[in-house]
Amino acid sequence: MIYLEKTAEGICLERVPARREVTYARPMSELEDSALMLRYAEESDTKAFEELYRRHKDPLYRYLLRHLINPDAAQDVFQDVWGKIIKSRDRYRPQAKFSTYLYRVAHNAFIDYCRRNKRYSGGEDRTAELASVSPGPDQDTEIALARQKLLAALATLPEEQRDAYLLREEGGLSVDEIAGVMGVGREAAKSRLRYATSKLKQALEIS
Amino acid sequence: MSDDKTLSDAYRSVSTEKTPELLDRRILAMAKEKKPVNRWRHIGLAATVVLCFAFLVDIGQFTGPSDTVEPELLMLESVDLDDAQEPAAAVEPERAEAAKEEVVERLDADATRQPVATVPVVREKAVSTQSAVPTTVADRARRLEETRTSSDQSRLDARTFDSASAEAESIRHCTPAQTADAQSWYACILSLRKDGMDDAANDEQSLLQTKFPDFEIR
Repeated sequence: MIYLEKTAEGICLERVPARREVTYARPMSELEDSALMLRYAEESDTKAFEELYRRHKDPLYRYLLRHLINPDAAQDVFQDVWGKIIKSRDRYRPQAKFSTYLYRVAHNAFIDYCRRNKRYSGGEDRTAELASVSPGPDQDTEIALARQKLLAALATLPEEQRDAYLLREEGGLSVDEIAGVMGVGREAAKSRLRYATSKLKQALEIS
Repeated sequence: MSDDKTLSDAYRSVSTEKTPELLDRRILAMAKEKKPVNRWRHIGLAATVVLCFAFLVDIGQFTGPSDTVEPELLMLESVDLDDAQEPAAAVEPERAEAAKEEVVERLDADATRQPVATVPVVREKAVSTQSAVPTTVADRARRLEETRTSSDQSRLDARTFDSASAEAESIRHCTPAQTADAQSWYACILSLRKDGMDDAANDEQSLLQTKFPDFEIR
């Protein structure tokens, strides 16, 4: 940019450098999960953690609730998962997506819970337990019926297939990421996902 | 593919549970807690640094220039009894016995000797560096003692004499050039005495008298 400046000697030209673009810190909501987690780990920025938590809390809770059915158990494991994330924040390395890391921790916490409380590992009592869960206020509506039907269908799935399906639906993970979380090969994860989808479609009569 | 989307939409429309607020507050409170300071980590780190420093100081003390190591100790290391040759035919038994006794006494003295205050610091370092030396010398003295009391007296006498004379020859403080003639040899002995190395001077003097019996020591 060139400015004209009138001086005693006459008019001179002055070249003014272009104004430097000022970069402001991006708002929390625009930062990626890994950046938020790093910010929390390195600077103890609790705002970053709050944002991270806000993004993932509900899907993670539902992931655990679908597995465990019992809300109290789901809340216990949920708290355990976030406790582990908080405690081991110094060791966090953004090698993969944060959600993959989060769901791997959750998957392991769920398996540990099943080992400690063997009744959650079997599939026989799940439907009964699902029925025993207190109905919501919208029990009589069509949505409530559809919900009941879907949850019943999910409950009858084998654990691996249900896990694969929930990781995709709630965690938003890809097949490779599901395979990584479950500790199996890509084809196995893909197969589990396919079987789960197929069975759920049958149950919900989606052609 | 569209079936998958239909299923996904159906799932999302009914899957709407949210975390209880109490749980949210509990977890956010957990996140705000300060990390407990691991004191043991700091103590461990400090201990490691101190140990490393002490180790380096020790290494610095022990690795002096190699030429400051007392030659006597190095020579003792190189003596090997098993490599002793058969004795010459014209060896006099009295001299052999005397030399043998002398070496055994010297080895005994060396094994128990502490660094003397008057000895220069460099020598002390050399002695402390070779911490295994007193043990080695003691071992040699013990081996000599065992050899002396062995049943095969004649053979062992010969071997012991040979090794003893080899030992006596190897523990030299005067150079071959100095021991070429009696006068320079004696000058070397005097310089040893001046340095406070009386034992070495006595050894050299006895060797001088043996080699030059006619030389008169003043």
